[in-house]
Amino acid sequence: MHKSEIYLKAARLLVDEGMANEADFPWDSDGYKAATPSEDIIDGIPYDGRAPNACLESLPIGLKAEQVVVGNEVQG
Amino acid sequence: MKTFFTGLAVAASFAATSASAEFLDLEKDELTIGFIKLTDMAPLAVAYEQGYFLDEGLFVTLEAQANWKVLLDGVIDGQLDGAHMLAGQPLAATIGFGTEAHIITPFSMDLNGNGITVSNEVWEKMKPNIPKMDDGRPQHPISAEALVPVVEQFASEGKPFNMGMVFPVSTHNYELRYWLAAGGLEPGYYSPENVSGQIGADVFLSVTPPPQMPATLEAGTIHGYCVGEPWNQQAVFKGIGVPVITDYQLWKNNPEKVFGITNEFAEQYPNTTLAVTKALIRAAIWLDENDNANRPEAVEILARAEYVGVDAEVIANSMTGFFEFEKGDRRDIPDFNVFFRYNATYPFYSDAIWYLTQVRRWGQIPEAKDDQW
Repeated sequence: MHKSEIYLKAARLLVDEGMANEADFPWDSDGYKAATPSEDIIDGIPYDGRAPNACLESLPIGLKAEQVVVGNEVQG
Repeated sequence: MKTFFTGLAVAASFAATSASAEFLDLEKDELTIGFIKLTDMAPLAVAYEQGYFLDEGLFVTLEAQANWKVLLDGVIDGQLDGAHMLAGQPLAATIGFGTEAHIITPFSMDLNGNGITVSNEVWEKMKPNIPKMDDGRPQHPISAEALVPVVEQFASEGKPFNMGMVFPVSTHNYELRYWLAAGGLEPGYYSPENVSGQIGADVFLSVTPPPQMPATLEAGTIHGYCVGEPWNQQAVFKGIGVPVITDYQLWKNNPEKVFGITNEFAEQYPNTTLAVTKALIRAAIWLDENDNANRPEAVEILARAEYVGVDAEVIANSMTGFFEFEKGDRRDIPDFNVFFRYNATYPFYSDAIWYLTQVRRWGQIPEAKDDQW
């Protein structure tokens, strides 16, 4: 879905053409941003894209693990 | 071939000041790209107005769309070659929540850029619950805890507390839910049988297209909303509502809009895809370079009827580094809109995963997923 290879190819062409700076692009990124530290988010619950389920589990409101919504209630 | 020669002429003038430009062999050179009337469509308008599309040999028509559903359907059925999209749209389409289609993104359009606004009536009721700074102004960020007594009052009077967001898989739905839940309010769940998103809700959320938010608030149908600019600042200018928080304060440098195309488009027209991406990266650079020096010019472009079509002074607020909360309470938020710095345009997979966590959190995905999603 997120095509960083197209993005970086376009960025490389721009750098080679002198229209962009090499230093402005994350050439070696593995696609994961550094985790959001707790001071950068309103509820202080950090988000790490490598451990998304841990983040979900730590949110007081919202579905957890195997929970499902049946009729008008959350089950599990 | 006409396109090719146009490109060459531009290249010749550019070559004098930089390294040699390479021209891609475009499989398709006439494109129609959709957008919604929001300031964060700026990279498209700038790529057009600064001639970056033409520099790539692309003849682009930018077309405003009525709402996010119409826009997505346009891309899926091929009437649009690509569009300014909500980051959740390619993800939801690909996993089959809503219309199923393989939509990809080679370019993220911006970070931040949204706000949550409440009606004047709600604000007056919230205000006593908000801690004050020494100068008497409300202390930021404002927690939805200040809204809890208001929602309780509505409930005790048998009135639903309604708020607007722009689309079921929109950033705005998830940001509004995040804010409400962080303050202890239930924003409601989705289930496979009931996609209202209002199961077990304290606050009832529904969809309103961005440009219609202020009027819908004024009519009293909703008591607040989460939307992009200029639709929060317009509420202040019209005197009908008060922004309580920006998404920068909610989650610093959160991922927001993306440029979306179908996977088929990218496979059938790889060089055209690359050329569009190049033009958009240049536009993003222009928008942020020299410490936002080009923003006043961007404001003038965006104010035009064919783009956002709202007074330049309203657009200027958020685009030039500040945000007005209560009338007269102007605060510096230089990163309210980030178009290029902090690697804003790189399509991070971790951003996609965040959206998917929220899709799961509220039941739009009925079952749990592993960490790879």
